[in-house]
Amino acid sequence: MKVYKWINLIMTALVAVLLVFVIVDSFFYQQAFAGGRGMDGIFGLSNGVWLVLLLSVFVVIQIICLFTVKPKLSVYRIGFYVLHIGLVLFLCGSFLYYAMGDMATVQTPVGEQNIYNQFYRTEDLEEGQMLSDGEILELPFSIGVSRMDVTYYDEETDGTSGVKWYDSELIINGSDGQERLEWAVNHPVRYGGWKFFLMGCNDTADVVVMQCKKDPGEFISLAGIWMIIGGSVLMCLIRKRKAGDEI
Amino acid sequence: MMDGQLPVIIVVFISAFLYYAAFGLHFLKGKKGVLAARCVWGGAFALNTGVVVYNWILNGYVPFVSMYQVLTFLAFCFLPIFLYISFMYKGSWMAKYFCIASGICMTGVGVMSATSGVDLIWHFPPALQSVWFVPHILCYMISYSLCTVGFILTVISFFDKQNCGRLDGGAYNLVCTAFPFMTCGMFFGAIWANAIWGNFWSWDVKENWSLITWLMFMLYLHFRRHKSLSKWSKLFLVLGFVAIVFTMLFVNVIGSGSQHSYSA
Repeated sequence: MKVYKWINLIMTALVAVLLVFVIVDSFFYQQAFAGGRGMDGIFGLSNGVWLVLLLSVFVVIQIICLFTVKPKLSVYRIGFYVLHIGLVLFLCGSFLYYAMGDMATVQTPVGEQNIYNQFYRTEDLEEGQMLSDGEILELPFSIGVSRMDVTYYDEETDGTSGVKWYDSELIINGSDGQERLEWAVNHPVRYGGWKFFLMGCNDTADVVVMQCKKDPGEFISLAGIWMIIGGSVLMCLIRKRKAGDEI
Repeated sequence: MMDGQLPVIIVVFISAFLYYAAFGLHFLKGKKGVLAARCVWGGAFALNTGVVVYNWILNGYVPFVSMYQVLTFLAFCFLPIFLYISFMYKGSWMAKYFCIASGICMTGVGVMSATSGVDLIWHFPPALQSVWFVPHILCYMISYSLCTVGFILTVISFFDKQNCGRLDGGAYNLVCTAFPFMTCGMFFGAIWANAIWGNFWSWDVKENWSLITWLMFMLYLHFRRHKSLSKWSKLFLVLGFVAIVFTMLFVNVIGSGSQHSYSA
C-alpha cells in the first residue's frame, strides 16, 4: 500500500508538470491560439528529449506497478494487467519510432511522368509554398501521383461550400514492377515498410501534399492501444464492487 | 439570420426551459411530483431529439461536426445514460442532476445560436469521412455527460454533509462508467489520427487538453482507492471537469491553430 501511495504521488507530480507545459503553451506562448501547433513551439516536445524523459518515467512507474501488485484471478486484476502492459507497449512502440522511424511531408507534381525516389522535406503545408529545409527524403523505390480528383460541394444544391472529397492514384515502381493503388484521405497506402498519406493539394490540383512515414513501432503501439481499451473496460465496467461504492 | 434558424432556436430554448422545469419538479414530494417531472423531461427530450434528427437529415451525416451540433447531441445523451445508470446502479435519485445538465447544454446552444447565429448546414470535410468519426465523438459525448453529472454530485457533496456518502458513491460510479468511454474516445482518436496524419499523437492543443482530462480522471480513480489519499480525490474530479470545459469549448472557441478546428 505504501508503494501504491508513492506511485500515485509521483504520477500526480508528472501530471502537474505536463499541466504546466500545456497551460504555458496554450496561454502564454500563444502557440495554440495563433496558428501554432501545440507544444512544438516552446519545448519541442513532440520530437524532443524532454518528452522521452517524461514518458520514460511514466513507463518505469507502470512497470513498478505491474511488479508490486500481487497476481490474482479476477476480472479486475486481469484488467489491471492488460491496461498497464498496454500502456507500456504503446509507449515502447512510440520510442521505437523515435529511435528508428522517419517521417516527412513532401509535395509532388501530379502526372504519370513525375515518378521520383527523392523529395524535398517541406515544412509548410500552406498552398503554393514549396519551402524546404534542404534535407532530402530518399525512398528505396520510386513513387508518383498519376491523378488527383477533387470534388467540391455545390453551394446551390448542398447549401455549403468546400472540398467534399479527394480521390487519387499512387504509382509505385518497386523491385516487383509497377503498382497502381487507389489513394484517398483516411486511406493511406502501405508499401515496403513505408506509409503514404494524402494530405491535400493546391487549388489547381496539380501539386499534391503527402506525408511519408516509416514507423517500425506502429503495430506494437496499436496492440498497446487495444490492450488499454480492453483493460479499462474490464477494470471499470466489469469491476467487482467494493463497500462504499454503492450509490 | 438564415432561413429556418429562428424556429430551431425557439425549439432549443423551449427544450432548455422544459429541462429546467423537470429539474424543479423533481423536488416535489410524492409520486405525482415524480410523474410530472418525468413527463416534462420526456417533452424536453422529444424536442431535443427533434433538433438532433433535423440536423442529421439536413446535413446527411451524423451531426457531430460543429459546436452547435455537438452540444445539442451532448444534451440529448443525458436521458438515455440516466436510464442505463438507473438500471445498473439504482441511481434514479440522480434524475434531477441529469435534467439540469441537459438544460445547461441546451441553454448554451440557444445562447450561442441567438447571439452569433448558427450554420444549420455544415460541410463535411474529407478528413472527417472516416469510420472512426462516430465512435470517437460518441464515446467522448457519453463520457462527458457522465463526468458532468459526477462533477455536479461532487460539488453538492461539499455542502450537503448529510448525504455526502451517497453523493460521493454516485460520483464514483459515474466516473467508473465514464472512464472506459473516455479511454475509447481518446484512443479511437489516436488510431484515426494514425490513419489520416500518420501520427497517433501530435501534441496538438486539443489533444493536450484531452490528455490532461483523461489523466485527471485517472488520478481521481487511483486516489479514490487509497485510504489516506481518498480525501484528495474530489479535487481531481473537479479539475477533470474544468479540463473537459477547456477541451470542448475554449480550444474550439478561442483556438485557431488546432488540427481539430473543423468545428467552431
